[in-house]
Amino acid sequence: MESSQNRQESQAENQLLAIRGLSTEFDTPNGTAHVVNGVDFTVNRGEIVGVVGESGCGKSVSIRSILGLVRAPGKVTAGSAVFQGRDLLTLPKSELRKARGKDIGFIAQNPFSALNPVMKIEKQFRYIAAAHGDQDGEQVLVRARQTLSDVGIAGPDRVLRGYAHQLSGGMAQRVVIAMAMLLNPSLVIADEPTTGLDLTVQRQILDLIKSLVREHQRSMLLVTHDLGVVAQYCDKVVVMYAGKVVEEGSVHAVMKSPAHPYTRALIRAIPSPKQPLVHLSGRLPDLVHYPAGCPFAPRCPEVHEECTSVAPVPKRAPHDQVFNCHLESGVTEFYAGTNA
Amino acid sequence: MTPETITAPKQPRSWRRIRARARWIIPTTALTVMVLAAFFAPLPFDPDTPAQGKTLVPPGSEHWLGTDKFGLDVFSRLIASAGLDIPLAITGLIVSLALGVPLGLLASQRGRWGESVVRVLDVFQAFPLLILAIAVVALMGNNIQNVVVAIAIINVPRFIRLVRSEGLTIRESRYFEAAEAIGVPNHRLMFKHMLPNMIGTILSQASLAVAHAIVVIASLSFLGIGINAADASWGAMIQTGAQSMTTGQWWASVFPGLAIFVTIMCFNSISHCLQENFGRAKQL
Amino acid sequence: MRLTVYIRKRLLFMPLALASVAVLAFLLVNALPGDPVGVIAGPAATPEQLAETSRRLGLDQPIWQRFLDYFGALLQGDLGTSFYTNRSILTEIFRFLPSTLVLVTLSLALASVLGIGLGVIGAYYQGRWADGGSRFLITVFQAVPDFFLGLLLIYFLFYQFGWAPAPVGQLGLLDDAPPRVTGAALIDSLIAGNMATFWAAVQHAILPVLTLGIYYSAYFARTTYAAVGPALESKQVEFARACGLSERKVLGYALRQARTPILTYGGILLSALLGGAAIVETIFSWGGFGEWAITSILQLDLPAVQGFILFAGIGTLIVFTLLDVVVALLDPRVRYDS
Repeated sequence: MESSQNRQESQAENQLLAIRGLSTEFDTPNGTAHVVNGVDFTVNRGEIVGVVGESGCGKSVSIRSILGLVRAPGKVTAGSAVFQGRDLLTLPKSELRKARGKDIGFIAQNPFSALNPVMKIEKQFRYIAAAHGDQDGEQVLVRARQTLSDVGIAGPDRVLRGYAHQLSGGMAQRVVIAMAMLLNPSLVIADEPTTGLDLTVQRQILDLIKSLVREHQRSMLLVTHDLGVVAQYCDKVVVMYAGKVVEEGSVHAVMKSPAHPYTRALIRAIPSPKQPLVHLSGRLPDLVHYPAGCPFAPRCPEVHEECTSVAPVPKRAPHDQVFNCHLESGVTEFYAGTNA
Repeated sequence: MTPETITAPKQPRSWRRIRARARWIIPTTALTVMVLAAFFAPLPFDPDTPAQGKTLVPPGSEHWLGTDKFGLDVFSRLIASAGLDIPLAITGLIVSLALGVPLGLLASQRGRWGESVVRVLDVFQAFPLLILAIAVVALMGNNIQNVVVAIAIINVPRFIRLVRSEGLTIRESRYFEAAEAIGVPNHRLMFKHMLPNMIGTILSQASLAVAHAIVVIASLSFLGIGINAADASWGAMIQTGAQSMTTGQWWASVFPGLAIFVTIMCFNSISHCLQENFGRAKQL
Repeated sequence: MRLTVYIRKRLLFMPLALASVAVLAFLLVNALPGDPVGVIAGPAATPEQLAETSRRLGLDQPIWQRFLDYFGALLQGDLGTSFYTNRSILTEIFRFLPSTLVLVTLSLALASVLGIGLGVIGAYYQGRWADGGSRFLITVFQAVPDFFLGLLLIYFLFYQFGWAPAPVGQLGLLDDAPPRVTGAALIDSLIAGNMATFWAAVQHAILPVLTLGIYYSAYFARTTYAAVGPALESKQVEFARACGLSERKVLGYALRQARTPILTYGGILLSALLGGAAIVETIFSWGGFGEWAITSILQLDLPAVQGFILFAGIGTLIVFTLLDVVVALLDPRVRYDS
């Protein structure tokens, strides 16, 4: 009794961000789309968590729901997001605003969409600092230079004096990362930070982000659709499908012995030189007429009778993952015939 | 196996549909009724014959909207004007489209011709078009055909620009590229591939242009240009009643002004619906 | 490229543009089908009268000759002579231009404040009732002809409530007119230091400025809405919010991104209003440039009409070039792309 209580307590202490039951809806001309449906996961201190899933699975919307960036016609309808002891979803707007940028840093997908095209870079740094009460121009400049060199930009002054469109994709993303790190947040959220970049640059940027996070014992939530990235850079992975978390666990466990059929299908689908291309047929369910039962049922190779009518509950799998399925966790035979 | 749905369609959906339909049905009906009434409905008074001794009678049971300073019944004249102003505006637009759309299509072709057309239009746009229109009508002869010319002068550049710009965008699309690659002849490219894809936007803008033309016609008849002062036209009615406004007899000017307002709102609404339903989807 | 280089490029383009405007102005007035001589001389003219009118107008000469005369005179700054007042057209224009400029500037100021305000409200509260309300107002303002709006304002503000004076011109019939410097009562009374007259001039300006200001605010509102709406939904604004910027700052951010189209539209409206205020000027007997143009047209004063069109064209050209420079100043992308 006592030890499990202790375990729970120390777990709680270790948790930086705990999401429970997050649900978000969008009001569309065809009806209400249930984009996020009861998402649960945790980010512990110093941990890099990858959120992975195909396009439209709700990962980006979940992130925005946590940050309070969901606007009409979308609405967060349920759930809690406890960060440093406070539920972000019930915080008054002004408090949430203060947390953004300062305690939680955000790295956007496309740097040219994040940076203001008509404002000098220097000014944008000032704006961010000023938004959190830091009016001292000189100091801000010094810090900006520091963060820019931290992200590997050799001539920070030139960049500061210039505009976004004068930068290459990689450099612009570095600037965005610098902005996210400017106020020393404890949690960094990155929404597909390398999708728009060249392959060679992608690695550099990911390495950079990882080192910045590790150096300062920060935590990170990395949203991506690329399992390879997750495997290489994350400690924990959360797999999402149709607005639900289908599996959550350490990267090692999930990649080696995935419990959920969807995760297995994703891993199987990773292309390998000598194997024919495996694909997963079918499409995401209609989010307006959200199916009862498991949303993955129509595409699941191991579907059962009850899968279409009864919603599955989260279960533990052998390697400490949590997964959302009716199947029993007989997963040890996965490795046969796969190319992971 | 088909998954069962757990959410029933909400009320708002059908309500939305009704509202969307009403958006164009009501205006179109209103406009048609107005024009038909002008030609066929029996009006309570002859719009051109003044009632003796009954000048500037306020709205009442006999003259529903009152009479103007000549003793003419405002209501009858109002309806009669609909038969002049609305068809005139539409005619002007049809002429503008007939000239503007082909020229715009031609201008959307690659090459210097298109560029020079735009340059000329740019210079043309530098002039105050309304005054230009007024000047044209006054100098060419004060008749209705020239009013149509005036409307055309104002709208043809606008449509050339619109069609050219839509055409250029369509040129960038995949399906157009495919058609070119197969070797479809140029005129067919333009008429069968480009035009149908921009017709929604063109018609939507045309509806807006008709609304604007109504204002132009009203301005012209207000100044007594182009349209014979004795003919019933809303602008002329406003002019007749203008002086009386300063002494409190508002009905002779306000009702024709309201008629213009209603007409314009109708065309705006139709334009909005056309854009929503037939406007080109913004994808390639 | 640097700003000075950009400006130089635009200025180089000017002479060609000016020449095109001059040519087009000439063609528009002189190359019309139809018979201006007949119209001007009147339907009852005898053949001698027709010939006399034709000679007086210079219309008996071949068109290329007329064009050369016209262009030659133009280069010397001569726009011809009015038929009715026998003053030079240029003098006439400058008699009336300042009054219009005063009216247009004030109206644009009102239109921009009102319009941008409405547009921003609509864009910010998109989907909620403030948006619907703002859009409704915009539609209403645009759906009445400006002269009708003027008459309505006269009726309500002058006749019903007595808040504004009678629409008899820039000054009332009993007011002391200040010595004529520019022709615009507001300016001249200030120059003369006559505050009583200045106040009267201000009062007489209320109705016309309100008319034009309200009417054109709708156009400003539309442009603002179309520019700020997407800006507020943009990823840049989302990133700004994610970095913790307050809503006010975010709005400023969005407006910054939207300022180019708004400014451009303002410039376009400015040049459009030079001629477009004509009918409103007529209603209020303002004595402005557009009103003179319409009177000239109605009197069939051909040189005056031509002078007006030419002048308006040149004015617009200058405004557009200035606008391009200002936009380049504000939006660095423009400079670097061209």
